[in-house]
Amino acid sequence: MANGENQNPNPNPIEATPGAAARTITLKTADGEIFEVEEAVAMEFGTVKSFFEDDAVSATKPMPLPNVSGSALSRVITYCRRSLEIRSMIPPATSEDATAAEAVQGEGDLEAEKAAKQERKEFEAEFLKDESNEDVKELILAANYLNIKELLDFLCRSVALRIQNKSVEYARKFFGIEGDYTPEEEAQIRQEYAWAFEGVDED
Amino acid sequence: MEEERNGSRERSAPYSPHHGTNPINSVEESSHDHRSKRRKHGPILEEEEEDRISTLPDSILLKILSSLLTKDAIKTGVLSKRWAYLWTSVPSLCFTDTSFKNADILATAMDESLLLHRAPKLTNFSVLFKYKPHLKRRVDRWVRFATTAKVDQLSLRLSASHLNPYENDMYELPQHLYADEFVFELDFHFCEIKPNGLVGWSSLKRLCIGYTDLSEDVINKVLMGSPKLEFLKLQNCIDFNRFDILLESLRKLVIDSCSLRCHEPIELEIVAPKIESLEILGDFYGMTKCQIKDGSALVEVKLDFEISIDYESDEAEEVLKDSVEVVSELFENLHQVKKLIVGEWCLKILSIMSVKNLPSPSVNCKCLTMKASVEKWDLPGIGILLQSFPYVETLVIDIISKRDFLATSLLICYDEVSHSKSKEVYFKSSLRFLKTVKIFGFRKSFHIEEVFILVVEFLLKNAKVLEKMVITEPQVMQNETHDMLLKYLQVSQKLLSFPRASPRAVVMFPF
Repeated sequence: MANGENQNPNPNPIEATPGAAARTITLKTADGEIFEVEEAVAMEFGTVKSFFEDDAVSATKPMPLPNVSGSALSRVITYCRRSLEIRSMIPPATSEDATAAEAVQGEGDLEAEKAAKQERKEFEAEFLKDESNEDVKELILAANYLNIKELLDFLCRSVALRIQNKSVEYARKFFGIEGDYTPEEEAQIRQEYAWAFEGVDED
Repeated sequence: MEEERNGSRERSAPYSPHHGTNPINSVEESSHDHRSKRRKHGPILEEEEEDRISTLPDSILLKILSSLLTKDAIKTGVLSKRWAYLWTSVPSLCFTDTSFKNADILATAMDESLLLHRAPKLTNFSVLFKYKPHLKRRVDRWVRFATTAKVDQLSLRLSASHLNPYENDMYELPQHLYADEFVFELDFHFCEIKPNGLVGWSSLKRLCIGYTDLSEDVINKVLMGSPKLEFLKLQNCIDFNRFDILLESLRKLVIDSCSLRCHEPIELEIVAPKIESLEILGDFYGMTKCQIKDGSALVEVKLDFEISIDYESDEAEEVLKDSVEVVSELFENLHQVKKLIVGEWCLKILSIMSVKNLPSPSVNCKCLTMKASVEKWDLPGIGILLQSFPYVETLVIDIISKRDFLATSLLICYDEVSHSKSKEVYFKSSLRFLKTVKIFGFRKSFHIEEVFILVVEFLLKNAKVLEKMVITEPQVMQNETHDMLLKYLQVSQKLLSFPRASPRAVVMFPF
């Protein structure tokens, strides 16, 4: 565990990446993959953050994440990294970040905010483009376990987009839910809200 | 959690060897195939994961439901017993899809939903439908429901027949709504705003009003009663002349078109010393004056409006003269602006302006965007803009499709002779600070290739500190014919071959 780097003034050389200025935290996933993540990024994970805040004792093992697979964690890390980058585009006081393409020197928050918004929009559209429904589900479970609010909000919105205007069967398949209504019960609900069940897309 | 997982394993185990038509089955199988392709971990995790979504807390499921239209959220009640009444706790009610056959069905749907709804607080309440006067009482009740639930955002978009929008009685907002001190954002279309007493929108930050006649008296009452207002948009509402906004908080003002039933010509005067961003859009038929008095805090301005003229009528020339005055005066008030967007119509008016009306140069503008169809009669306008804002560092040209009507009608003022003279006069800008150029809509430029190439050539030849020129198409190009691709290639090659004043300039065609 790279905890020593966070809490103690003497950095623990065991986990430190040679030549890296940023501190890293080591995470271990359910399927045994090891990830070294920049501290700033790892602190986006609520679970990791509170773990380090509570635990004053530095351990030498990587932090285990039993409910997260390697592929999911890798996607999550990508998201959080990019998200941090985009957030740093908005100057709080005197940030010199040059990634905002249209930001004019000394322009002020209005311009940078817009550019950041646009970047985020494009990034989010790309991020889930090729992900299957299964992947999205897995990401939600990971984001929920790791307690990453921003990612979770985004994923929930995306799920809503994927199931909106589709049939109930589609939503069932997506969530993997077993219906526990009897056919009569279900028919009754459908009739009660007949207006809701009209006009759906073909799956 | 542990129990549920074991339970699911027991339930799903008997299914997996069967290749039935059970939809759950096919999910497991397809997901199994999918997963085994991508990951190496064992099957135990997969079976557990099928039901893990259901192990998510209600709050996550509610989050997902919150992004759905209420109609879709209600449908989830059929998924399983756990989902039966989840939708009633979703803190948002959105009946904005147009799939309801008529207003009465939507009203029934809304009434039923409100009966069952039990979220203690609403974040969003939005309705869009074709209002009928007999529904007035019911709509009043919905608004009451929303305000009682301390809604954050309330949107009432009542559309009306396009032919005669004001034929039916418009919905009049209930008086109690004006005393709502919790709402952050209000959005009204085709609603009559007539507060009897004072307006008490003490938390209101954003307000959009559309398609109703607003008198000066009403708008003043509204502004006085919204001390925290940051954003105001008025669409087809303006039926008054003077717009005094002394609100400390207002940052952005958008005015889109004057009222549809505008009686007299408008002489708009905007006094807004604290506003940072201003947009004037749409059609201001009959406007003879538009002045920004004291826009000292203005940083961003978008002028994408027009004053439509009946070019057949006798007054056409008079109106055109007024329009020139309007545009000229507007530009006089923009000296402190850092970012400026100029729309098609304003550009064309600039093109036909005589020398005495030209705006004097301004030193503050750093980012200039032009929306132009880039035809030959836009050239003077483009030249004038470049000359008036010599400190521009970023230039964006948004090429839009030409509007034949607009072009031919302004031709009556277009002087071929002075045009050829103008090319020398106006294209003298030094472009001393221009660093970035972005041109969108390249594809639409084919019909005006010559002019486009002229402009690009000029830019390349004169921008001494140019770093980057990006010429691109906003949408991804698909289904391009072979000929078109060839054309792109030819044009790009030509542009790349032009001499560049800046040694570091890079020209990019990202497609």
